[in-house]
Amino acid sequence: MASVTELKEFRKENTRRHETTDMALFVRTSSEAMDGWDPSRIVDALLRETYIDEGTAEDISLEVENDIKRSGIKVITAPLVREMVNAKLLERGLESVRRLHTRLGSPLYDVDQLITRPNKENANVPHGPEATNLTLAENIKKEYALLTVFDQTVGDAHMRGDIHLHDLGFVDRPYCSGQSLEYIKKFGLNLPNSLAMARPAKHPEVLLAHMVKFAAALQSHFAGAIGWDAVNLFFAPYLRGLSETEIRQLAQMLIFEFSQQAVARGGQAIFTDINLYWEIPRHFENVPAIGPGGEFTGLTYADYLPEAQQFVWTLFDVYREGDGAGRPFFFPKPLVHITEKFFSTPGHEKFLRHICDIASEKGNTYFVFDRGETAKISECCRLSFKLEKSDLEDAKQPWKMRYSALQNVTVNLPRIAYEAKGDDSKLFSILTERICLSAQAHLEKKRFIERLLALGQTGPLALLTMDRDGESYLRMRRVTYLIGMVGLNEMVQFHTGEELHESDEALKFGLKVIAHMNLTSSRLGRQYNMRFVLEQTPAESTAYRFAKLDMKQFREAESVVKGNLKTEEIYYTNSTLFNVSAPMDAISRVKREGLFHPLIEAGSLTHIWLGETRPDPDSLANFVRKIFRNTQNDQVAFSPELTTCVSCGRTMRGLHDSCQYCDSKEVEQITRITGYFTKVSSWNKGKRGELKDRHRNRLVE
Amino acid sequence: MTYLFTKQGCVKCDWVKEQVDLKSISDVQVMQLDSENSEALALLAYYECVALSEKKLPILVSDDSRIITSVGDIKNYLVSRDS
Repeated sequence: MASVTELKEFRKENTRRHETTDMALFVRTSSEAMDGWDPSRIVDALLRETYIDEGTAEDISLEVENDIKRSGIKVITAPLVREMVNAKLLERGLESVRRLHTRLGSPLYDVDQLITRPNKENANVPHGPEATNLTLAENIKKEYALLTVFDQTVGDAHMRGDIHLHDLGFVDRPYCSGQSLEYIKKFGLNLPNSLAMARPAKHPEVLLAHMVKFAAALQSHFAGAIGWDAVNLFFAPYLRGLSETEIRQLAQMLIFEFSQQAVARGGQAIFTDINLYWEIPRHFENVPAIGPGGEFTGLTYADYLPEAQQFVWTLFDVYREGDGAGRPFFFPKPLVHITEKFFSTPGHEKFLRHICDIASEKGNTYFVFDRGETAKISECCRLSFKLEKSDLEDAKQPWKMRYSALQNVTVNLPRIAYEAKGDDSKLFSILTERICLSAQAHLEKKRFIERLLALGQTGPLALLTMDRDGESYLRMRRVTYLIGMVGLNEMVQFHTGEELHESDEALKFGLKVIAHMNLTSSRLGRQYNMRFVLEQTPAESTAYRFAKLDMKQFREAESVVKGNLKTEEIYYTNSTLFNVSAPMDAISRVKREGLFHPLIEAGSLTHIWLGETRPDPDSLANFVRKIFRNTQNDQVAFSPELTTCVSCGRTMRGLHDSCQYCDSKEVEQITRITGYFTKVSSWNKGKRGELKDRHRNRLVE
Repeated sequence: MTYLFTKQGCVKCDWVKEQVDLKSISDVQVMQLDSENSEALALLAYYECVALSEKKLPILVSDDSRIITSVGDIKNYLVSRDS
């Protein structure tokens, strides 16, 4: 075997030999240059990027050079040279070396499609040059994640469609986050890498500006939603003494600023949720209020009830009006917490009617039900962080209240039923395996994020390591790891012969599956010392992806997959939801879907699709009361359908192909896709199939 | 079917089990809640008792879906079934 010195000598000699080569070949390199042929670059790359020995690297470079000579080619690209080298590695059985030598990138055709056509994977991303840049980068990071961050077992399971690793293109950031305005009220806007620091806001408009900028900064460090707790309450100390007009102006600014960020950023909108309360939540009652300049006002938040109520009422006035064309605002999503205290707070009847009026008219309101002692921060499509005892202790210093889910992994449930072939024990055994695989994926992502965080202020996650209150902004000790599910309905249908809504037996079997997921996740959580919690996956694209993959790999899928097979507008039913086309009355759907919610700690939601109808606000308010008192349901949203005319600017009820006023065909149909409103034209095929199937409920009008 | 939801280490659950010969009563199933029993947790969810079980145990769900949590009432109900 040759010594290292001998190999180096050989390499030098070989390089000299190459210098004398008269190959008239030019290489288009990745650094935008047209360089002359130099095979030592192949050797350098192999030695730098892999653990191959120098002799093999030299041999490969010579073989590649010979192949190129024989081909007679005059100009070659660096990526092609790399692929030729990879082929030689494969011929030698050096697969693991080839993986390390992989070049990440996109085919020309795909890039052309990306530049010219809108992204349908996420309806929340506009189409434009900046968005295209982001999508291209996302694609490379996806490949990077599957090659580097995750073990091959996990990566392959994702590629096959056994599980889905969400937001792979954002692998170098956590998933979602929930925060408190108190952080910027107390510390101002003093962010790493910012060119200027701002002291705590002295005026409400400045506080709002800080909030929007901080949200934008956070959105570039998280893949998903940016939620804010008790927004109306924490603004309240800044509102004392303001006129109605000034408060209205501020409410308008808040909603417009967040709703127009998508265009301003060029990428995904800031997926913003604002948690709102009519009452003062118990855990904030005696907390000293922070006011202008970041100073304590000498009062507690309980003293600011009138301002908090006025602000939340006014926010909903703005939601009712809609944007300049009367369309519903897509963001920020208003989440109103309905609690026992809500019903004992004066004025709640009027306020409930007010928010039900907006729910009926525009659909914005999300009703979040916190029963008993439960308190939580909600965000994303349905994610929530249930506050534990230590969190309620943190509430005394609310700037500490920041939460994050590090990643979301979804299990393809129908596939497990196909694999189990009707065998109960096999079904639960495969389900356990898939949950273990999801836990492994979480562990791998956690290690990767910890590696980035360890780079501190010079690393890519500097913002999340800032420690204004003595603790990193991202509190790893408090993060959760989400395990989601898609297609419980189809799993149960294939395994038992009935859908969830069709019999009590089917429903009980579905509950057993989710109970098993819950218990297994908890067990693994104790084993890994990580918080694995179930979440209803919104599955905007996953429900479509799983259905498509299963249709290719399992003939059985055809018997349960939903949608239109001919047009390929197919999908699985989201998470634990019932068949969207089942003709169930609204209260039955809310009650029966709600049976699953106590088993799903990190958030659940029931949709009531309203179609063209506009229910009476009083009936809706009565309905909401019944949901709180008589069901276990965690969260409900009512979704009307609207059409806006691009030509005349008017908005009408229902989904129409042309304007009811001016007959123009230039219309935009709008309704809720999963947990947010958006234009139907940006939906993927699966979601379009689901839209056609949705059973519209006719609540009392 | 009547279900009695219990948990290991629950003093009140043990008291009920001592007071009533559960084996002698037909159509009563004892569901022990633990980290393995998904059947029990699923049924608890079906009868809308998950949150309740975090505060109170045992819970009896009668065959007409009444929910009883007082141990005295549970005992009386079961004794009446036994006779």
